Amino acid sequence: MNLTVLEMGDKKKTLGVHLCWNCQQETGPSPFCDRCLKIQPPGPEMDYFTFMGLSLVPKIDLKALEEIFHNLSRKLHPDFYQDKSEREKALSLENSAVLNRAYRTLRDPVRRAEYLVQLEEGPDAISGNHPPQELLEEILEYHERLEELRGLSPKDEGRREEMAQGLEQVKAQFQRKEADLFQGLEDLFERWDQKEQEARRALLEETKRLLSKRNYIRNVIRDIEDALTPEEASA
Amino acid sequence: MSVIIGIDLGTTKSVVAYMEGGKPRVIPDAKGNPILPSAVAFTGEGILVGEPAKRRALARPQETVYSVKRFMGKGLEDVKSDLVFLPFHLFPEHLDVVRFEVGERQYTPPEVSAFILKELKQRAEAHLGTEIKKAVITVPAYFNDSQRQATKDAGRISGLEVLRIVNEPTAAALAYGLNLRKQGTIAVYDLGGGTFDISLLKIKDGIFEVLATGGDTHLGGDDIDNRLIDFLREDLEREGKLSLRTSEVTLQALKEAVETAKCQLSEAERAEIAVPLPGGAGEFRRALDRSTFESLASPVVERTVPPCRQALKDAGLRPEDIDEVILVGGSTLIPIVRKTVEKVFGKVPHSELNPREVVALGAAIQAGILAGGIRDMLLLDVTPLSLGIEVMGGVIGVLIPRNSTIPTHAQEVFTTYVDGQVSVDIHVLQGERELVKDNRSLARFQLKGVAPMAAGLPRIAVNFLLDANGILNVTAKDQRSDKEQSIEVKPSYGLTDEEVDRMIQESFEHAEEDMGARLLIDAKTEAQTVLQAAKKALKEGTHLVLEAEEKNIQEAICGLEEALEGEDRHAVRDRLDRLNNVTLHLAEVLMDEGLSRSVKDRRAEEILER
Repeated sequence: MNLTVLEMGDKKKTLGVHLCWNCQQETGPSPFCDRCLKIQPPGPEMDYFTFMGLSLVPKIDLKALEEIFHNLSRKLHPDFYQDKSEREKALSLENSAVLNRAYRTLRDPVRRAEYLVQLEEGPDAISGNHPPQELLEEILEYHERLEELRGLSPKDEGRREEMAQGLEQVKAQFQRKEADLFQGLEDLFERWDQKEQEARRALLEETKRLLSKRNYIRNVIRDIEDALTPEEASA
Repeated sequence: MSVIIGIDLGTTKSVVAYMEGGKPRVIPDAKGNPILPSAVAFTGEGILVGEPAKRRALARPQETVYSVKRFMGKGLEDVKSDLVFLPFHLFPEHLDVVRFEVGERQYTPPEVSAFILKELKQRAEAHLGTEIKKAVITVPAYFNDSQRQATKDAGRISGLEVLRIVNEPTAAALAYGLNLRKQGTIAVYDLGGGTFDISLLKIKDGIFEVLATGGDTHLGGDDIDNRLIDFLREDLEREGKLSLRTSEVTLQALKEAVETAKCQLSEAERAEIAVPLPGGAGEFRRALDRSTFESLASPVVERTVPPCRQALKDAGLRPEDIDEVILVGGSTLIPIVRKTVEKVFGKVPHSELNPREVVALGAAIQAGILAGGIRDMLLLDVTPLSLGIEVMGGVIGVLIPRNSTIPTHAQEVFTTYVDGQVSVDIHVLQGERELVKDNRSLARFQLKGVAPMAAGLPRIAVNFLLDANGILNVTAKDQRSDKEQSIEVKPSYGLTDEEVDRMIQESFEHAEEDMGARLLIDAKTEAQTVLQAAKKALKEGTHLVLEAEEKNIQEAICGLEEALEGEDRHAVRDRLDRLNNVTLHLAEVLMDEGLSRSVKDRRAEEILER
């Protein structure tokens, strides 16, 4: 779930250009003023890719991303603003929060893809509530097994054990499907730099389909895990 | 910049350290002891902290508060199970913050902790010869927002500005990183007196990035002690014809004895437990061998395994991905703990740095980073628990997932459900469970002064910011007017700012009476030294003084010894001065004689050399 709603569109043109609070001169999207080098507030319209100095494509070299993250951390982290003004302290905190959130989102392929889709189509673009057609058979089977396990009396240890083993297998099956999905996403990322509007739209739709499917599978896996590990009495 | 100290405020023991010449150093007390027992005694004479408080607990357990860390940021309901083993009286009328009832007064956990912090502050000031105003304090990684806030409050009450709350395992990692130049993926297994943490970190070019953390704030060496107490309870109650529930002194003695036995069993195969029974009924004695001890300790130690597995899973790591496992906390000296860690991670854990001091050393390093003295190291920690808000149906909507790097934030836009509604309630929670009631309630926020409009029209953006301490800050903005929205905060547990301010005020007012106990101890210590010196001088110098003078000195010695039996510090001071006065002459003549003798000796040596 990503609750930060980013409004794109016209604002892209003027992305991040604003007046520096310190020297009152116009400055760009960097976290520091182009002229007086003072730390700036992260623009509300700025997306995570731009914040990290990347272009808006989903294929990312994770090693390079980590390096960017470390470098920006060394510049933005509140540890290094102890002797600065209250305003700069607050700005360092804000920027660090955005940086950490951006890194968390971008380093994970699924979160990154979700984020990109949401940038284009808004926060409700991906659902996880509809069972994917091609998995109907497996899903029905898993529902049956889950129902039976839940209906078993606690005394029926032997049968319980058997059912649990069966469910473990179903879980492994779904996990394999999830792994396939990850590969599918990576393949999509390779084709992302399509310029044509039509091709882009198709790619986006395909990404959305994969993500919805993945969400569904993840919920199934979680349900199975919950059923297999009885909840403790208290948190 | 002035000195910033690093403090490990532990459940059973506390340590203070600072940076000197680019290296962290522990600050010992006047006797050279680096460890301060985390115990505070409230006597009629004033307040005792550390070893004297611990000794006092043996005689007057009702006056001594220990393991106060277990109560930080807790409500009355949370701590009921602890009280079975602790002789504290809690004030029953406050549900949101625990209050200890000692004599006439009540103390909250942050106030009790503040006495420990004050003692460490004074220790540092005496050692460094300068006033200390700022500190970095460590907490268990698994501490929630209320517990962190309570620790920060304790700092404020003690007169220290807490620049940063650092997680204990990550502090330990900093110390290893600086001292031993560690790189790679490491696991820090931290089992202390009352809390357990596991943290997985990646160290690369001075950046210490925490990947995942897990733990249990209610699991530690104390629990092993309690198992031992339970094991011996029945026999002792039968032999002593008493109930431990009412015999607080015996319970305290048993607690001391099992703790000592536990420590001995880390080295020896057997340990003796001896507890004096009240009313001259002799002693309760038992031998404990290591295998019995291990069978008792094992269920406690096993409880550390699931958090380790969960942290590995959260970080997406397998045990073989971990390059090194570091042990922190006094309880990791126990062999069965080491065996368990080895089993989980498949490699031999190590602890080159003293597990009791390493956290304070790390706190000092973080202090050094904040002071600007260390530029090439940076700690990026995570929040141990998911942060969310109550949504329709009594379930939690997660805004910030656990193991998110801090600082971090999440924004949520709120609106109204009823036409003309002018306020919106937000309930903030921390935890991993689905239902609101199973998670920790942090606070209730009320957005006030919303302009009356049709339902669903107002748009109030609320920003939930977790700072680098893991403490929540909430701000809100009306998106239509772009104005800051006022928020009223009701913390679910813990003190309000006004209460903390009042406590600071009170601590000034009581400072004099609190000092009394300390002055008594200082006077007694000095008296012991002078007594010894006087007795020695009298023995060596009898031939140099008149009979009357000798009698005077004898009398003064007896007088001082008498005063030492009591608790009147003025009497101790007076008689100490008197003894000093009557021995002046003796000291002089002894010195003269000593001088002339040393001169004679030297001559003899010179002659011999020739």
